[in-house]
Amino acid sequence: MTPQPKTLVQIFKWPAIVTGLSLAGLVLALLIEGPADIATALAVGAPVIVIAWALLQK
Amino acid sequence: MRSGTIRGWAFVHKWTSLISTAFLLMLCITGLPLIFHDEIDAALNPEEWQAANPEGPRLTLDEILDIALANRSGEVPVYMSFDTERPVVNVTTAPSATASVSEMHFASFDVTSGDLVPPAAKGETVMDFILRLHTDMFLELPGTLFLGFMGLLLVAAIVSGVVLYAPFMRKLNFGVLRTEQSSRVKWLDYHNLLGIVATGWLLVVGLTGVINTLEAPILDAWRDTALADLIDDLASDEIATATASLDAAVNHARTQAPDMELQFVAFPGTDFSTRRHYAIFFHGASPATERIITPVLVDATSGASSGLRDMPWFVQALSLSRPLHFGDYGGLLLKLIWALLDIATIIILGTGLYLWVAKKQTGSVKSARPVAAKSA
Repeated sequence: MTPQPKTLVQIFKWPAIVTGLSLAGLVLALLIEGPADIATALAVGAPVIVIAWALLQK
Repeated sequence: MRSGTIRGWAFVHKWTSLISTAFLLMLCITGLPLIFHDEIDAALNPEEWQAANPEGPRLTLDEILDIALANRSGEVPVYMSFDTERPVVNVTTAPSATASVSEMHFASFDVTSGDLVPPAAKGETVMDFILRLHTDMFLELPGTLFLGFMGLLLVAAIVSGVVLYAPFMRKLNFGVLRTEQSSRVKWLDYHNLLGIVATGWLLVVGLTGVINTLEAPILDAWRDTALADLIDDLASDEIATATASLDAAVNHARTQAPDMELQFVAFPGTDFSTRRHYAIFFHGASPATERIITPVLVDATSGASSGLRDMPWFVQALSLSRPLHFGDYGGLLLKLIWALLDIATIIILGTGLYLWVAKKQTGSVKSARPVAAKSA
């Protein structure tokens, strides 16, 4: 059975979340210092985490 | 999306990518060691230097400047900056105030003795070569602006890539990698996944890179607008000889910016000043303001102050663009993630090129088939 075509919201939901996290991390890393650096760096690295997840799925 | 619209975006994506790929690959590869510039310097040049008289009195800035100029006969001071961790002042000199970066000479001095601080020489030549390749390909301003144009093409390729992502993913789940199918399908999935998740970071690095390439025009615009009232009656090629005490100028400037930290001094005639003034730059003391620089202008002949000058938005954008482009502002973990995203970008560029070649080969085979069938 052919899968139903996805809507734009379905297609861009996860990319938008990853992009939002990444951009928030980039800006927050400029504004705050200290232990929060780790959290902001991980937010910037959201794309890397998703790529690792996709590689583990295959 | 209509097929004509898709073809239009595909045309934009193909050509903006093809034109810029070679240069973007060069920027990604040279950018990788630049992310770890500080760590590479520290590893190659372990710190052994000690101040001559750590508890002793400090030389004045005028005395340091005299020593620096005595070491560089015939040159003029261009910039003076201040080490934040050691009692060290850095003096940049050049044959003239308007000399290019490659003609400038950088030296560091112990403010407790006036002695030269040995430069972190190991690896410096290689890193300087990489930096020049990355910023202007040894072509000065034309090279910088050309790379800025490549950055704009990158932005167009990213935007068109995001638009094209939708028709490709209509029947696929997010993150799917069809590795069991043909090479072309497999690398298309890698290209799409890496490209879409790195979009935000790529746009920021691309756009800030473009802004960085506009440094010279931005500083020209700043001098012509924000400092217009200080443009003096000197002839167009005349630069004032600095005779006013630098120490007095810096001490006065400190009173104008009591809650800020001294960063550097630009001498008359340089990109960061007018032809008549010491421009004494301070930065904010909090994480949010430490990258925003603000100068106090002091007449280099009379010592008269023109007060604190807030930077216009376009210079502030330039100040913020540097860390956002190089990723050197959030600790080692951020640098490592920056490097991984840089490598992801190299893969995106490589797979993009592979997909174009594979598609061309498929097209050639298809167009050759009818001819072969006819002749058979």
